[in-house]
Amino acid sequence: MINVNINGQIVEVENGATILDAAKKAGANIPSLCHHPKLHPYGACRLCLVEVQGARTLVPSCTAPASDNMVVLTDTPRVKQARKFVLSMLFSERNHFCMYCQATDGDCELQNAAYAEDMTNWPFTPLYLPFAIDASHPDFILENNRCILCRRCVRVCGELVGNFTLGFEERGSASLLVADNSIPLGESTCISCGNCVQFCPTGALIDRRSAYQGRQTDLTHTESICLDCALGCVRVVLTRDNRLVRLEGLLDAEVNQGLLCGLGRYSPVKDQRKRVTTTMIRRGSQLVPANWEEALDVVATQLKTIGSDEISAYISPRQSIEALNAFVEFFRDHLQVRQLGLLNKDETASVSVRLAEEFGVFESDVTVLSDCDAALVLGADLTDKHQVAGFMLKRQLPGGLKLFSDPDATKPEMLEEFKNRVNEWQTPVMVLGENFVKRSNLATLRELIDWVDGAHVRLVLLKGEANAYAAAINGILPSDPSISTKLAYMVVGDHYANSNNIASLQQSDFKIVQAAYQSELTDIADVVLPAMNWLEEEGHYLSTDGKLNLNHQALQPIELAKSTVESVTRLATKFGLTLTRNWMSALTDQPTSITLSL
Amino acid sequence: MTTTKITIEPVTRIEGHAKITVHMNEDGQVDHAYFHVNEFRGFEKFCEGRLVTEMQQITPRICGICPVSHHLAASKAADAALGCPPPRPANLLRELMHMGQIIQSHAMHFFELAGPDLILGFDHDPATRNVVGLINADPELTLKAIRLRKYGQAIISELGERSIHPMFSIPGGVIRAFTASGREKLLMALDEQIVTIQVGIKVFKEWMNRNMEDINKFAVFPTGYLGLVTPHNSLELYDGQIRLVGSNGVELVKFAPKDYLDHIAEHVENWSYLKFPYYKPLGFPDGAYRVGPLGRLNLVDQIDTPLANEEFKLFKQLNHGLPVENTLHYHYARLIETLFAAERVRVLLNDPDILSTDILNTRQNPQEHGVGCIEAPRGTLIHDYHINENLQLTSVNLIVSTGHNNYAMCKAVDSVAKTYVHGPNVEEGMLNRVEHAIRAHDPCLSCSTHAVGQMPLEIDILDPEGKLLKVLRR
Amino acid sequence: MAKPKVASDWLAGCAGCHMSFLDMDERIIELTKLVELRSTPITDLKEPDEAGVDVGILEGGISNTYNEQVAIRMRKRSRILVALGDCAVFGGVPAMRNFYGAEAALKRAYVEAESNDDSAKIPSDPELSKPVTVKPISDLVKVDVFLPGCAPSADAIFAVLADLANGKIPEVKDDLNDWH
Repeated sequence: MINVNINGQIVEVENGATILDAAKKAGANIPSLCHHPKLHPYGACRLCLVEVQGARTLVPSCTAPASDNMVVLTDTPRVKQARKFVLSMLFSERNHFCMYCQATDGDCELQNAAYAEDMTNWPFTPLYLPFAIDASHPDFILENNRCILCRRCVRVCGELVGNFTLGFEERGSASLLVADNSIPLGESTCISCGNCVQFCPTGALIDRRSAYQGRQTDLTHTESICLDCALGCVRVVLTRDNRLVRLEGLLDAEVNQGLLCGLGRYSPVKDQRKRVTTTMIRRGSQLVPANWEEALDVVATQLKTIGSDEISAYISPRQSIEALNAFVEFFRDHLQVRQLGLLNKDETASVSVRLAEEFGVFESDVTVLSDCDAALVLGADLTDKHQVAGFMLKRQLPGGLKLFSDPDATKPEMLEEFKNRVNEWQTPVMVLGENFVKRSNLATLRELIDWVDGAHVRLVLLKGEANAYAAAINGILPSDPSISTKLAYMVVGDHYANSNNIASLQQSDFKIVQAAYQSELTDIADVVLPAMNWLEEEGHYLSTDGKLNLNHQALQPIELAKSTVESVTRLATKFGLTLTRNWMSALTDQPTSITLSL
Repeated sequence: MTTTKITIEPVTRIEGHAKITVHMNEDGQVDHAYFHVNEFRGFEKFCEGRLVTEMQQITPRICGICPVSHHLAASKAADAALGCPPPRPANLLRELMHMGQIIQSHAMHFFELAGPDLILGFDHDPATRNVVGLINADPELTLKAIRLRKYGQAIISELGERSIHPMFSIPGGVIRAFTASGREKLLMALDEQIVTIQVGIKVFKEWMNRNMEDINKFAVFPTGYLGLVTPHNSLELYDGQIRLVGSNGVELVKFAPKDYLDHIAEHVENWSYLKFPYYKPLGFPDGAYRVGPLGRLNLVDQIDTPLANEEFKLFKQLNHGLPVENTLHYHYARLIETLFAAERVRVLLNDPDILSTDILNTRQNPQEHGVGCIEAPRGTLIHDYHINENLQLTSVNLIVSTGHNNYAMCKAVDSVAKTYVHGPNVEEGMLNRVEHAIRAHDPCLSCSTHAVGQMPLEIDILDPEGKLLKVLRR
Repeated sequence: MAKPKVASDWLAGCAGCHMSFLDMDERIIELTKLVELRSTPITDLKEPDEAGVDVGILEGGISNTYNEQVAIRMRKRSRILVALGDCAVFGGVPAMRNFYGAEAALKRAYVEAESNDDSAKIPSDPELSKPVTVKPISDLVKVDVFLPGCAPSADAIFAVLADLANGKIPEVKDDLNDWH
């Protein structure tokens, strides 16, 4: 530990801490622009210059290491003058039109820095050399006129996402942010994760859809869980007047540390599906509006008439644990329905539960992927789903990570090689996904887990999407689309209907669909019950590594939509039943391949 | 025949920059007068490459008196270009903001810009012939006028956070729902404003009765009249079809704003940065028409709000049902429209959808081209955008309100100069009347040239040999 | 003692700053007790007193030869010169013309526009001023007080004028300093 004197106050910091770290600890506010708590210090903007006793020039506090007994002055006239000069240079270099910028009046760190220095004009007039606007990307815009060359975007794209699409070309005042070899962003290797936009301090990178809808302070912020895969990334849902505006990654979330992938960030705001706004019952070839009571009566009558082995019940993995719980209790425990299916064909979750019965705990936390020197990705395509896990691995490639990738599980020789070389590495990991973790592959899996037991490899299984794991623990397995019954009850929620789901539904004579959005499923249903979507229905989710998270409600539901818990509970009352099953203890009933943190 | 030139520079108590040159012949009569609009900024060019979603924040900077007109016209053009029609509550809210602007702009014009000429007199001492002079001469009336403008601005800032260059409308709707407390606040103060407007009408009528001779000889001439109308040809300031009637009041054509190029063309003169729109089939200048309050009241059949409609019926009697051609009746028409806007505010505030949160349509279906049209206080405003697949503007055409009145203003200047200006002693009051020929139209020259400029007034009176006889300065 | 004399003018702006000035509403009565308004765009005196005024206010940036003359004259005749609004302080939205140049902008409006008939040409009468590169006022004359904003609020304008009326140079910071 070392002692640093910040403006007369002594603070103790670790050896290697920067002057900026020490100043923060002392409560001294040093302004900065290119600095970001999640990125390595860069020293581009020079706004954080401070006086250090004994140093000839001003020192950039974000990159300079503090030393024992160093005396630092952060607010002298010389420092203030330097800040004003730095800002003046920044404003003169590009073309800053605050009046109509989407980030103005609160969300621009450059503007705020100018206000903090009481700047009321620009000492140096810009040259008005026009810089290009790259509007080729469907999700965001690159406005080079507003760029301050802080390179936060480049650093996020490289250091955190590991994609390395963004870079800079040319030098000096001709420096320009570019994608790949200076091609339009929309045609580049950009994976549309949008993290660069979130980290940009000015209006240089602008989210298209939320532009002008409000400042950060105008919007309501609700923390929720991303349901597009099972990593459990924490999203901040930004809303206004009961309307979804934008999604951002929560900076201090353990799993994603402020990052989101393109699916998590953009699929909800791109969702163009139409809502189911009212209960409907089929009369002849038409679905006609009805009310909830009527519809539930029709459903109850059907369920009571048809024998339980002629009934199949399905549920989306995007449903909360509370919803799964009510579903299981009503259909399996009370109605004795045997055909329960998950609307997802990924078997990883259910196979992991099966393997846990034999092996107990054999998996590690997802965060081990952030710190490994070798990784085998087997049966999972991390560029498609679980992308944030992919970021964790890709960003270690420049540091020497040995990456083996077999997304379709077609190269058994790669697994062999990895096993043979495992002692070359200190912190190897294996990531297994749906194309490898299947019931048909149980023998190979048992062999692998046996071997892992002796080796120092950490194993991570990616268990499908959202609550697939909780569903598996409750005994709900991926549905078999070939099963044909007299009645199908499908809890779709806001699930994106796929061909298997449609095939499953088509196999039944009487079709009940509980859904938030119109789709081919609601088109062929006999009864449609309006459901809430993930923004409206609060509930718990279990991530792939067993962490329990709460998805907070962010929007008031549309008028007639009901939560799954409420609709199943009301249906149950038609059978004289009260639902009492405890979802928490149900989760601990089974052995699991990773210790659950509930 | 040699002529001498009188230059009136700048024309004051208007928005924007203008200069008038009066060319006099040897007999001391006016030979011809020109209305020059001197400045130019170039929005139609420098908006190329910007995102169409930015235009409702960029184009209000064309004009600080009617920024809301541009804010809304740009939004409507973007709605069309992006294929995202707003939900009903959003249209109500946009119209409410627009009514706020009509009220503040018209109120300011009648009382503070034109008012000094009417209330203090054309020949009043120029040093106090202004809003400060009004405060001293009639503090009670001026205070009412200030509060009326304040009310209009309050509607805008209640919805858009600020009264000048608000943040409210975006393509597909608006960003912020209206609150019950905001609505309450506006409703409670509305009656007082209606009383003030009626006081204004009374002030005008009293002035009219004392000045009938002037009203009948001050720039009275035939033109067509153009503006938006409802399907039943009622006064309409926010939406609708464009209607053009001839000088006899008979409809010549009615068309959707997006088809404006089929009917309207613009003529360029070498001596002004303001172009001259006209009705194509009649050519220029026969196809000239007037817009704004006088233009609008001359082409509608009725007004759909009761108090304004009663006043409208009186207006229609001025020329026995035919269009009213007297330039000075712009002031009367302006007050009637202010009354309509205030009554419309009540209708909107009482609409059950006004507090709805269904205010933004985010589904887009880009079309490549979109036209947005609205009746700004001064006349029909058209924004015409072409966009590429990235939603950037490839071409922008703006025909801005006052521009349609260019021919009329030039003719008015010429007419008033010939009627009132006589050499060799040209008095200041005569020149003020020539300026008033422009002022009565309430021009927004920043808008119409997408530019602003101004010049001081100095009159050099030269003899036929060009020797300086006298200099009049203000 | 006589009230301080205040004159104002607008250059390449949109009049929004003067409208914001009027947004001080009833306070204008209080203001006219503190200062004497001389030439402004909304009064009929056409130029600032030759004998000079105490405070000169300019809205809008420099965009043509005429603006240059007005700015120089206002500076000459004012003891204190205030640059009012983003256009005067920074160049503002009109400065976007610099990316294309006046020639291209004139051509678009007067020759290429789809609504132009065959009289289309760039106006060139000597009565009209010539465009120049758009720039903030301070590039041409010394400015004493910068009040940015688009438009600066009525509160800010009132506070600045009240200070100047009392012989104080205002400190434009915190709530008074707003660039948008």
